[in-house]
Amino acid sequence: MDLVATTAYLVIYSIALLVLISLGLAVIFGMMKVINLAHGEFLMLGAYVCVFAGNAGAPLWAAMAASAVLVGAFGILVERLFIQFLYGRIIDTLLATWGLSLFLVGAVTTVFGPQGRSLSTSFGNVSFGGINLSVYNLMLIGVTAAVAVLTWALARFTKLGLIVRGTMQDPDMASALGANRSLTYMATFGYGAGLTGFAGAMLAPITGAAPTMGVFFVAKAFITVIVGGHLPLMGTLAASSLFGAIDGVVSYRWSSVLGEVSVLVVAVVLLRMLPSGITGRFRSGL
Amino acid sequence: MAREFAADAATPPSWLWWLFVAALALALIAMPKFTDVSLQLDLSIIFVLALLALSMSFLWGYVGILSFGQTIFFGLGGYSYAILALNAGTTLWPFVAAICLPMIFGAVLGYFVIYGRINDIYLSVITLVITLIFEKIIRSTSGPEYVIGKVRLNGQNGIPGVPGLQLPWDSSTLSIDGVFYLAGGTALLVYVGLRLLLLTSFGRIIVGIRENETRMELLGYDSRVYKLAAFVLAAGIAALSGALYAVWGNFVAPEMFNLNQAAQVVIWVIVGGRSTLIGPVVATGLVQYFSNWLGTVSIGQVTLVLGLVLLLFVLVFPRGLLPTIAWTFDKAFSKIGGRRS
Amino acid sequence: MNVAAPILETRSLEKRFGGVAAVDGVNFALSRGELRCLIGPNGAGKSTFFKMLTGQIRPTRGRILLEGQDIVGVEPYAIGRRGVGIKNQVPVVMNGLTVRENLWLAARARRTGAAIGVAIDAIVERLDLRPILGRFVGELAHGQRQWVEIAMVIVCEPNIVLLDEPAAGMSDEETARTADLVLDLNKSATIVVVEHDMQFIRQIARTVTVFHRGRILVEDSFQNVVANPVVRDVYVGRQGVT
Repeated sequence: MDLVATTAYLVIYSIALLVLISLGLAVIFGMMKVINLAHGEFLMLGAYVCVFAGNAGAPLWAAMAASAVLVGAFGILVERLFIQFLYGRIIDTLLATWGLSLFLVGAVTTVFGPQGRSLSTSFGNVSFGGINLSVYNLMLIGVTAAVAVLTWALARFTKLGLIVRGTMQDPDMASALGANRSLTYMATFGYGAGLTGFAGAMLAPITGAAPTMGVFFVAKAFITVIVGGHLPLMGTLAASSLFGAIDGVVSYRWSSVLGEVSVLVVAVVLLRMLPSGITGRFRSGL
Repeated sequence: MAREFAADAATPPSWLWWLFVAALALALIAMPKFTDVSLQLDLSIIFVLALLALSMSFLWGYVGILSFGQTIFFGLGGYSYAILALNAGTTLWPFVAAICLPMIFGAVLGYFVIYGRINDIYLSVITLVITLIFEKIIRSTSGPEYVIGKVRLNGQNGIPGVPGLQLPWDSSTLSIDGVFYLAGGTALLVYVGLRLLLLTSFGRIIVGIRENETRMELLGYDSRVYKLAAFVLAAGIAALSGALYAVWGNFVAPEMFNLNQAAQVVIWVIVGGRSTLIGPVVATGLVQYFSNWLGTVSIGQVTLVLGLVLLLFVLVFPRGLLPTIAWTFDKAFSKIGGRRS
Repeated sequence: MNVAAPILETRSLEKRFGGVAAVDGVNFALSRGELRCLIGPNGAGKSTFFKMLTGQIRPTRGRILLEGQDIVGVEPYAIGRRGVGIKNQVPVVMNGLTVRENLWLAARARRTGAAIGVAIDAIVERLDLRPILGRFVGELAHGQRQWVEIAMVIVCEPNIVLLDEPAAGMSDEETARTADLVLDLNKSATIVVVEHDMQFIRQIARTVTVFHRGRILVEDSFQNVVANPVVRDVYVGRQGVT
């Protein structure tokens, strides 16, 4: 019974973690068909903001909010500075965001040094069903679910969300109907960046902040988004469920490296059969 | 506008080009007489990396596949040679195997991404992800239980004491001069070989597929077979580069698989331009020289500058430095001469 | 009508994009050696129909029988090898290569050695392409690029040739030459032509199939189709819209 409970908890946690780190990337990909290779560095920046704010005395929730806002703003800056000139040039966008990724890693290493920094939190553990669970991890699961629901609600019930969905489905038509495509892209990129910054902040108490931490998470996020397909929410949820389960079980039983390899192998085989990802053939939905 | 891809590859190279190749060969043969050992070592590694650049420039410029994974084969080539040579005690067949084994892996990987008709971005990102994961795998093998034969994989620290290549006729190890000739000669041979490959049916069909895969299929060509063959060939060249790297440095490390290395390969081709084979080779020299100079400052700065270079070139010089310079000269001269450019 | 089995046949062929049926239940039969014209307003589904015949688009439903064998799901290169050639509405050619290289690639698909040169010379003479042999295809005028594409198709010695708007953007003189070419080609291949240019169709037409909203509206001789009030409605009535 313990084993089942532990495994179930690990799987749910892995899925939540995947959703958390992938959702921002998926939103940007779903809208602009751009894979932001600087995604890991947005995570990293969010973690740094959180660590600095937290160690300076700010309450955790404020530090996390600051991460979301600051990284979101940075995302908007990046989009205006060069991403907006590269729409349609998919490979060039890939390369440019890769350049940004290297630049950010180098810049942070130069300014803050290569060593990691940590943020201590006082959440402790709780006993549930005979197993010891970290309260923070449980919070992460809850907060991730809330963020996913918030994203869905924003898309479904707000005017901006309607414009975003319309532009995702048919940019020309949406633009003909009056939606400002450029602003929509900017807002979406900013939101995706903000989500990612927030994810980084959520990770900070667990992993600390280090210049190369992005590299550690980015492989899983890319795989999740690619296999998810072009619908940000449904795709991320579907792919995260699959890979979270695989990664959770394999990592627990063997090692986290093997977990990633398993996820990769399954992804490659899956893409052979569904080249556009799980939601690739879906025409509507989020 | 500077031509993005070489459009005239199917025409046999002019006598000027042959002259250029002959001059390079002569310079190569003569050089060790006039240069000191440290310069020879520096040039040798540039030749080795030039091979890696050639594999990328062939795959991206002529086949049209942007794979971030050439460093996978580079690393596999180096590690295969190290492990096999240290286990076997000889070096010749491990060197050959170090080229073949990564090609097999390339065939499997290529099969999945090419026959799956995965779109361009997905292919690029998947190859990047595989690179990342390989580095992680190798780094995690620090413990004593990670052993192949009698060679410890050694994780972070890499495998030291990799034997130099032994000459088949007298079993003595290749000297620094020897490594210089081997690296330079191989790079030159591969360059000439690739250039001439573009004159063959296979080469012309590959370029046709790059230009318009749909039309080639409508004509009856199974583009997947050709792309897979080219992918495996590029993997083999990258693996050869990796094996030579191991021979040159007597050392292999996870850094061969890392992001910085992968980024450098892409940067060589972007700076050198995709429209020629020689451009990226020249760029390799330039970028290596530049980053060695930078590397003496601090680690962070190399990454930072690589990132800036990549950004700059994608935004401002998408055709590459050399083609843009050539195009600028062309425009300038035609304005002076008054003829159409 | 030919008593022999049709060389190309579709049964209940359908293609849906989202909720829209571009091709909606088409039963089409083509006899060996026929020269058929396909007409219909823009968006009637003609190009989509063609692309399903070459395997470029996969049908949502239905069957396509090439010489009696179902080719749905067969890779485009295999269909090409079976003798189906297409000239697309927008020329699908290697723009970054020369005319000569384009022709070489077409000739090489089915031949080796000296036969390649022979085939290229033949098509260059037949279509008078010598003046543009060394030019890059991307730099040619639309009409010339179409001729390069047609040349590439002919070099492959197809059994079935699909021509999507061969007269588009051509002068009267070029149109007449194209009509002559199509008639000449018909001596060795079955042909389906999609066109809007009625003058062109008049020069070549035997049987005409009228497409409308993804379905076949009418199939009859050219004279009858032109006189058909329903067809005129579809065209004239909608001229303001399409």
